[in-house]
Amino acid sequence: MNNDLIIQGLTKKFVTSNSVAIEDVNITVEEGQFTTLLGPSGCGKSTTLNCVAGLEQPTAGSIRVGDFVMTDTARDLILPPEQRHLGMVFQSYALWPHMKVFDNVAFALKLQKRPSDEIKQRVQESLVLVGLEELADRYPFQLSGGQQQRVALARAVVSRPKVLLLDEPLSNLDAKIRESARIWLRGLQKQLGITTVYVTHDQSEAFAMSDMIAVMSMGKLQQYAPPEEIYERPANRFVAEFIGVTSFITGTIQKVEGKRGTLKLASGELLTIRKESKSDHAWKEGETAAIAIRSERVEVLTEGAAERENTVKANIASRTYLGSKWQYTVETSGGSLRLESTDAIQGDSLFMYLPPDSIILLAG
Amino acid sequence: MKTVEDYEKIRKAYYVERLSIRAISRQMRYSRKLIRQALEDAEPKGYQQKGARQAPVLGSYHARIEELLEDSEKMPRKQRYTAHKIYQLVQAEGYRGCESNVHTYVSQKRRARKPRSAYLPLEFDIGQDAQVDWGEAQAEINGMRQAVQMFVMRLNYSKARFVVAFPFQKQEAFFEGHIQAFHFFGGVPRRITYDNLKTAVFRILEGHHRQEQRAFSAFRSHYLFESHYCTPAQGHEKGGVESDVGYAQRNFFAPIPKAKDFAELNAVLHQVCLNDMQRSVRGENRTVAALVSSFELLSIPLVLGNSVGIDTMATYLYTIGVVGVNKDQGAVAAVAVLIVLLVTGLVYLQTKLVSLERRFVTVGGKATRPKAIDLGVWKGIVSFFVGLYVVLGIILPLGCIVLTSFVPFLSPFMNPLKMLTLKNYQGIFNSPAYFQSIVNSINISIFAAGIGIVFMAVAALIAYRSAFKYRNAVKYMALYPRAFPGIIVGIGFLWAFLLVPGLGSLRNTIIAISIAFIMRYLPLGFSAVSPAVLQVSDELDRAGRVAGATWLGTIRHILLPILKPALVSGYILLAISFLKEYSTALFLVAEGSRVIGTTMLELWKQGGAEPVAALSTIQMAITAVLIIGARKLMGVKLHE
Repeated sequence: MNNDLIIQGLTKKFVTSNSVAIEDVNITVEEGQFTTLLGPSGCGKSTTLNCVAGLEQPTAGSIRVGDFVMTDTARDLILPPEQRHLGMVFQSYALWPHMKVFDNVAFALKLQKRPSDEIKQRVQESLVLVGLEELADRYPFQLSGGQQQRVALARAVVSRPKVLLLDEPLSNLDAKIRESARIWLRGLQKQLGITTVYVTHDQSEAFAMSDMIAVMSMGKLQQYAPPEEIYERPANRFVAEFIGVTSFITGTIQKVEGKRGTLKLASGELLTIRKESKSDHAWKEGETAAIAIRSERVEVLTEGAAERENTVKANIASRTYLGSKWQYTVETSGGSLRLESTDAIQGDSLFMYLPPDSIILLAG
Repeated sequence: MKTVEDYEKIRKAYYVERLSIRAISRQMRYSRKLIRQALEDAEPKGYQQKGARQAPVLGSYHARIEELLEDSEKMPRKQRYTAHKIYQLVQAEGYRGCESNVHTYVSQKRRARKPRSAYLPLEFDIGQDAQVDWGEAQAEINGMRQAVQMFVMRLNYSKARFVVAFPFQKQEAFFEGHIQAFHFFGGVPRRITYDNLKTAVFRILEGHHRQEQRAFSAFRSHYLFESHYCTPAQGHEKGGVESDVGYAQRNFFAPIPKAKDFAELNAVLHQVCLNDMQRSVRGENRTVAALVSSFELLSIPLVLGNSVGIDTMATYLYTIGVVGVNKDQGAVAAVAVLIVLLVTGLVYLQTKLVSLERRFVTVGGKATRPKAIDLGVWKGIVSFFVGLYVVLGIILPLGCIVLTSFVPFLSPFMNPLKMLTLKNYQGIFNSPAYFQSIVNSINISIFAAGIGIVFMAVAALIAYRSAFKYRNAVKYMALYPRAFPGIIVGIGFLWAFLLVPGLGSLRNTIIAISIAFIMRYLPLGFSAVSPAVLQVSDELDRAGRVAGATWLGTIRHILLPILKPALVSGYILLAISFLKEYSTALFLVAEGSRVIGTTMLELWKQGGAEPVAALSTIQMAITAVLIIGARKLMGVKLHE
């Protein structure tokens, strides 16, 4: 049976302030996949997660796991959190301070009125899974941050939920532990094969762990793709900027031939670009478009390269010596960009080569 | 015989001119003995009778008359010898003198035999005592001659009088007279003496004990004076005001005053009373007005307010709505609405200030270990001041109350340890009514406080932890009762029990009192629980929900256990408040539903701080048991 988590048309509006928290979010998380909701704070990623958990009510949309419909506003159906059978780890871990580790983990099973033998056994299994079987008799305040986080995870998976929701679980850890926790968490998720939705604002975390990344901004889903694709071919300027691309050049699309095309800059210079099969937007001749390129992929040519394909002349606006290299801010007729080079370039201008394979075409 | 002038000459010569006695004797030709006499006394001594006068006729009968007088004292009062009888007796024995000589002698001897009774001038302390009485006088109102009732209050120290006229002696007039008098004098005396008026006294008990009218008790409790009652038909026990009534009749109402209405008559009387203040008092070289001004300093302030604004409004409410002659229900409602508006504003402000509820979260999901702070060198100093506070603020006053409860009376001249007694306690425990009130109070404290804290916790959880649409309204409603003084809450409940069908049967039960107490202390409990609720991160509830618990299950398994310490202290707070609350109960208590607070009030007005101290000590003991018991039973421990 297929147990994909399917989120369709999820929208949450605030009646009072007439603002939108999330708008028309569509995400499908395949069974066993690790999907990350990535975006700056206030982008709606936590709201989306809480809607899945049932802790917040969307104004429109549906959420289901396989055939199990948890939310469908068309049918006025919004299940309360306790009926969704999910596991969730909170940013602050939310361990109950008055219960021992064992009781924290056993809580869900006790509510299900399981026999005590089974509870004992399954709690033990969960604690073994997170490596804390020795600490079952401690209170949360007697644990380190990392240990508390692992208890929270054990608690989330003890009732064998189909979907695990993680709300920035690593953000309260020290930077040192965070990296190893990341690997450990991903390993555990693979071991359990549990469908996971992970919320973070840290892109390195997202890239390191995810099968799929959903980049969100202003309550909208900007791109939903595997990490490599997000990195190589961000769908729009926001995604590109968010994952660290700083150089953008605008121009007009001039010629489209199969998978190749040409972008004409205001100065008349032509850039060859490649159309990616996965790219969504259609190309039209005469349309304004932007390209993005990672600074490190730009080659700086010092001399006599004007004849080479995809070479653009740029005026140096400022230069900064960084020790190992120079950083230049240059201006082209299509906009300004930042470059790095080991060469100290004299004069007011330089030529730069933009490899066609590295150029990312963005809409608008 | 030397005159005063001669004496003067001698004394001047000796004291002013410094002449010797011998020199004065030589110059003035007086004997030295005379001069010494003159130096001793400023004026000549005059002649003194040295021996008994000769009585040739009666003399031989002196012994016989004295014998008869002695016999007479042993006889029944009505059959004693009169002087005339003694004359007849001695005449029979051969006395030939006249009767009047016998009379003179008998009365001389009688006076000598009778022990002199001593009188002390009656003195009063400043601001302590006043007397009240009613009197009747004629006045012409609107052209009609009619009898008016004068309310007269007299301050015993200053002898100031206040007179105001009413058409009747009803309770309203009685209270109104008091209020006007207090305002006229600018304060409230500590003690007021009365006849046994029906408007104040419900039933006359033994001695000076009285069962008072409830409204009068409430009135007294508001103005904080004590009442004292004369023995029935012994008006002279408050002679001052009795004579003032006569004085007012003879002076203020003669000639018969003419006025359009009572307001005009009273305006005239007020002026007359003011003028009367200018008279000077016998034995004092100050006027009444000057004496009254010292009264103002030492009496109880007219308005004792708890907190600024609200309680003075309440005082006004009380005056116009509860005890005044002209009750103005409309004004009462208007003031009540004003109070509600004011509180609404304040609660709104508070809601704004705590609107970011997350700021107050300290019990998060990420646990931290509680730590004791090391004070270092400050340890000694801090413990000293804490200790000082404990001794001065708690042990000393409470110790005095306990001590008072074990003595017949507390006096600086007697060693209290030498007259320890259990009489005060026996008095309380032997009276079924008083004992019942203790039982009632304990029941209310234990059970009503338990129900109350649950109710308040539910209110706080709904206000801060639910998706309930009107959860903000809950916050406001939970704080409104704070705006009203207990007595108003009590009256409100009284009306509710009277007017709402079906509630009538609850009236006069401790259930009614419990409900009123819970209502009255709702803001207290709510405010005690709310911060604790706000302190707990809502991620803990959310985690509970996701783990499969319903809203109620989350409350039960997660929030309530975490809130337990706050709930237990809230419970103790409520229990103690219920134990000492009386103002709310004043209008609701009935036979059998008395509480300690009202009993204390009753004991207090029957005089004697000692039974009150005994009851207070019992109250303290119950409180201590409650606190320790609650802590033990509920085991307030978050961490082991």
